[in-house]
Amino acid sequence: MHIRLASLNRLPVRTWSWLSVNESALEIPSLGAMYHGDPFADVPVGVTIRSDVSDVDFRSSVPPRFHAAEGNLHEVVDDTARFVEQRASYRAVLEIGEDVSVEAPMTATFDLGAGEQLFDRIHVRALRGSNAKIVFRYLGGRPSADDVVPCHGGFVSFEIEEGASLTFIQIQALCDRAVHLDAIDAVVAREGKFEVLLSEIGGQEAMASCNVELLGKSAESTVNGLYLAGNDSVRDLNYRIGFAKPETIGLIRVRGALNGKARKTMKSTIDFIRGASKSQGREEESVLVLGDEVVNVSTPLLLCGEDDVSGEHATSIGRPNSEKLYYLMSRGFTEKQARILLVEASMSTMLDMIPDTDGRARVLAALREVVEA
Amino acid sequence: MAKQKTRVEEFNRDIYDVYDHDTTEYQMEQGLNEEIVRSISKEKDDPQWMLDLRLKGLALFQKMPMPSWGPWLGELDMSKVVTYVRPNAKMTDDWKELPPDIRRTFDRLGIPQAERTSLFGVGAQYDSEIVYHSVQQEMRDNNVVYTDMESAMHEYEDIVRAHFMKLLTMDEHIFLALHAAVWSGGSFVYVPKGVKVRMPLQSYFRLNAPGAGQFEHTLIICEEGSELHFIEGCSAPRHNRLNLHAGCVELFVHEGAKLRYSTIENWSKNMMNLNSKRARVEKDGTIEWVSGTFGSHITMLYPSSMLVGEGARSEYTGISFSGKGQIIDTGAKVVHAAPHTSSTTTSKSISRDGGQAVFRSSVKIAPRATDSKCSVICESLMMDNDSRADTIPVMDVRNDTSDIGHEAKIGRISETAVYYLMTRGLSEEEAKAMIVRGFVEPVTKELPLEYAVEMNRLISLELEGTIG
Repeated sequence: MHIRLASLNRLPVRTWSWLSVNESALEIPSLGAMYHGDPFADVPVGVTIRSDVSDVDFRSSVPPRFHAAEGNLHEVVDDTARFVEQRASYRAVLEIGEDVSVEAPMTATFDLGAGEQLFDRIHVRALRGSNAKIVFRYLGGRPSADDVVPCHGGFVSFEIEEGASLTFIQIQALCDRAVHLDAIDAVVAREGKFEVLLSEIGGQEAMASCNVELLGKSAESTVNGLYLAGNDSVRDLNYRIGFAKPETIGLIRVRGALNGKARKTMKSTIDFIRGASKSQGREEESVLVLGDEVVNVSTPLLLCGEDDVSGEHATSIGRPNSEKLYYLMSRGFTEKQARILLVEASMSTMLDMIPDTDGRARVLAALREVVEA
Repeated sequence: MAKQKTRVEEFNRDIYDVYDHDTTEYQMEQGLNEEIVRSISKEKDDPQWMLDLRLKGLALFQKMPMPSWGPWLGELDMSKVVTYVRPNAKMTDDWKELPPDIRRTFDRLGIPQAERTSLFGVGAQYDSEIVYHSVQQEMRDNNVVYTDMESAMHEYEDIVRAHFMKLLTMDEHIFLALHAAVWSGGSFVYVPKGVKVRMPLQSYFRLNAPGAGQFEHTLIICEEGSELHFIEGCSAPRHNRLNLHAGCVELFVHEGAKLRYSTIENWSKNMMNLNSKRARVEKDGTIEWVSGTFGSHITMLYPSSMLVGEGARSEYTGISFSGKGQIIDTGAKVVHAAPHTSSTTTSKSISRDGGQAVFRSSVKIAPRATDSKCSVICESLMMDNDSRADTIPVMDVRNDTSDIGHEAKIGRISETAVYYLMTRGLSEEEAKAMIVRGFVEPVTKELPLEYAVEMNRLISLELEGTIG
């Protein structure tokens, strides 16, 4: 018996129904055993982790949406968060103390067993003036002997307080038959900084969202997305940055490569709310399409209720540049090697963000697999 | 000292806002039912197939939902809309034969003058009927057909029957179903193989009656290797009741043919402009859409191009201007369905004084449309923060040999650009005016001079003060 979630990754503003981008559906396998593990290996000084999340009232810190344009707006945070809130088998509140600066990245590894399911609800609080880097790794998870596929559903929320700076890196490298459902939601206060790298390289179906609200003056956020998909896998991604206060800065930067019969939908939204004067927002997506049966959908929204802003979007979709390929092949590389180099180069900024060699190696291995498929 | 905002003044609507009082000969009762549809059909002396089409449209209209996306259309109450208004004029090819009120209206709009200087043919619709239609001798000599839709339905019945609502089918959305049921007026153009029409044809649609709808149907067929520029203009006086425009434009561009379809839309601000336009383009054919949208309370308009032949091409160049109380939701749709097809979509919008500009687009590249190219560029200029500008594009690409690029920009007039121009001796107002005219220039340059002047007049900007 499966659970069908019919209204996921909703576009903030609806468009033509026949394009099938307004919302997405996913079937969650419901028969697997629950994952039980302790994901955090080390907890640095100045950071606390507790499993009681009952006092987290994250929703109340997110202001109501300010759109005036249309009567049929969607909420961005949708059924994913609600579903995981109800089912979470792992709950934690992670707090980085005031003015605490954590040098080494803090890593949590969720390594699923055969046919296991994990639903994690995690809240991260970066208190005033703190500085840290957190890495979440979702790994493993092969089908069980009776062919139950592994499944991960996550909802991770962030509160970045005034002047705090947090980098969050998520590597989703589940097995190629896994189902992955994920929501990230963040509020960033005055002069806070929140940088994210979401690498979706595993799973048969990966449906992920990231919603950042810049709620304080001069708050900043960069949402980096990296996706790889081959065979008949599905990537459905929905990123948004909301600019609610003056002089905020946001960037959504996405790189991807698709092969085989992969299907990808990338929804990204830069949303300037009235009052966000002197803010700057940019979104960019670059996709390399390596197979002639790929389905590649991009929906880059730019919503603007404030005149004194600068908003830009750029998308490029295409095959690897033939002149560059030719040059590399004239230098002795095979076509496959040359393609791999070009794809690696297009993603180098994001690969460099991954602090651990194992994480980078996993992404590079997935990249080679997709290119060579 | 408080800063003044850059202002864009309302353009002077005097020539558009004159309401003619005694020009209606007959009108249907408000609302829509089978009796009304049958009455319209009888007025038109429809053949049976057309009556059947109308009744099918009515049945669909009665069960189809309103769109679940886009601007809120709850203000539209179909039970209050008059779907057919017959003016007290018979169709003529002599302006002098029109009733004085109607003639004066078209004179004010400059249609006869334009006909004399820069057009090969003119059709003028007043409410639900074409009242004037004329083509020059050169057109007749080349066997070009340009006539009203009702005449075409009888005189070229086979052609019309084979094409009417075949590109835009009535089951696509509720306003096409409505159109099928109550269409009236519009133009039919047939350009034979190899004929290149040197000067544009123009149809002008004037909706005078308060609370009425206009549902004209335009059907253009450009045969192999032919060329045509067709211009469509629309306006209405302002009433305190909603008017509805749900026209339908179907364009067939055959192999190697080229069609430019230009629209200058200036409906009054009580108008719901829910129009549908589509072109089917065969091998090496070209469709060029040039669109200026200024008026209406709500506009939802997205000309679509079906590139079905190898090497087919589409270009969309649009400008929209939304002021107080307006939601202008426009854009373009392109389907690349054959190899080596290419499309360019360029959209500019200006919003001010609480106006809302939405650019909405879709590009679909089919698996068989190999080696295709597509570019979508959208720029939005906001003059104040009571207004909105939203960009909602979708790209769906299904092969690995096509190149697609999309760029969008939103913002206000660049202070740096103003400063630069001022260092070159321009006043601040001149600098801003120059920047705004430069912003809309990609659209105006695509129009014949007379229409570019008209569009510039419509934009009519008065800039004052400093950047706020």
